[in-house]
Amino acid sequence: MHRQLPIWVVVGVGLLITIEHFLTIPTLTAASREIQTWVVLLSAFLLGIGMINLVVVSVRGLRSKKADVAGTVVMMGGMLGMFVVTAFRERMPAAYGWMFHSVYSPLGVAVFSLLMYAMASAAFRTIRMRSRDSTIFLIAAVAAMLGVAPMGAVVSEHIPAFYHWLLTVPNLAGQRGITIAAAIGTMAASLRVVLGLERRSIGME
Amino acid sequence: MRDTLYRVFNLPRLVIYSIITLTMLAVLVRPVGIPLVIGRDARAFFNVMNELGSGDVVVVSAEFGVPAAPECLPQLQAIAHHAHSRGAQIILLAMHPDGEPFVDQVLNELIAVGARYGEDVVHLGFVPGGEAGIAALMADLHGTVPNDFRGVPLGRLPLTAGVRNAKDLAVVVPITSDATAPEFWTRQMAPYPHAKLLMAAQAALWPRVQPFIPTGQIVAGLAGTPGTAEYELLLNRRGLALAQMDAISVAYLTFVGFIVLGNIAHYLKPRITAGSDSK
Repeated sequence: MHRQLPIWVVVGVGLLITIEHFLTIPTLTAASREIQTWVVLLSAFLLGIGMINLVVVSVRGLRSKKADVAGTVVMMGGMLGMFVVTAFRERMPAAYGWMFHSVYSPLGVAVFSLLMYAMASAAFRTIRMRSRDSTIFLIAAVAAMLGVAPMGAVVSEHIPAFYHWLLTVPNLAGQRGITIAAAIGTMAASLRVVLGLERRSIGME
Repeated sequence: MRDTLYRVFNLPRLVIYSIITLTMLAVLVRPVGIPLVIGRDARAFFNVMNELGSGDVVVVSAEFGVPAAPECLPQLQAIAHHAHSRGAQIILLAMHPDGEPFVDQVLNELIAVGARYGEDVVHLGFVPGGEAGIAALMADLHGTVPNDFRGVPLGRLPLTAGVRNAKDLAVVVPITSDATAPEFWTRQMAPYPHAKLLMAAQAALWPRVQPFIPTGQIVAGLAGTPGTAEYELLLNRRGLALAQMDAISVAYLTFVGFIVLGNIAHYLKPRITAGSDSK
């Protein structure tokens, strides 16, 4: 029963939402909207589950001495600290603002900024004319960089025009192909879930 | 000779890092003022926003985390200020947990320039659920988010009291760093053709956004910092994006220089032939 129930819940909800999309039946519409509201609540609840899971995994790692103690303590302290100041931010707005704008934001942006060095190194070491394919990639990369930056138009007005052509012809064709293929795949996968044939998500083969 | 040239052009990592650091510092300390050409995408975006009038309701959704903030926060600021200047009513929300403090910041900026909370602007806070959250929000605003971020019921706020679903919206603008956002927003906004879907995204995501523009599913979009800088020029508002443009230009030009040097080094690299010492 505990394995059959999730399957029937998935089948019921999937069919209800699908049928409601095509038919205008007030009762089904009301039920569909109610279920969609539950999804928002469930998503919020899952964020809490994620935090608890992280604590459990970290404590297990510390007990088995497999986790880095300093890293785990900093991570847990940061997570719990941020949770407390966010939960009580009406009472401690200064602490919340300081944690977000003076600690979390600069750290996050600094880590992301390091990508610039990786990109510079990658531009030098990997974008090379080794073959026909890599030459095409090189031309596209240079056109994109100069096409996006105003400097490209200063060098030649043809560079932004070429970048625009790359974006609106080859990129558009490729992206649409990928999108349509992915949509057909998603429909097939969704149909398997709605019909109860796809059971791996609930731990059944 | 070839070996000597190879040693010159085969830059060590430390030299690459030093060059990029010094060029970025130089252009930030002493901006060059490279002229900016306003592209068709930024102009189309500006035109749609500029058509907004008093009574039009705009939803602006912050869907970016801290790492994307240098690109997306200027977009959020420029779009919110433009909508306010047109007399539109703005519903702000965050669909990424990190987005909420940035929305708080923009809300405070709007209030500082005279926007009245509850009448001109409302902040819904963080709305979880991703695509399902958007579907629920657009179908039933009050049922999905009963209260604003302060806990005040939406029915009591003049702006949101009359907004039941996406049929009551004029424009929806997600500001996103999520690569799947163009697909799920166009999917979920399809039943509401009256509401124009605009999109502001990181420059790296622009190739994912662009295919939806010729179809009209996304009416117009802003591509990263360059697009936002062009939009700020059209608004005659010197924001953060314009301030970043010289640095971005010089960084891309430096990257192109590295590509050229890398290829020269690759050409000069001593070839290992059969029977030669591989060391």
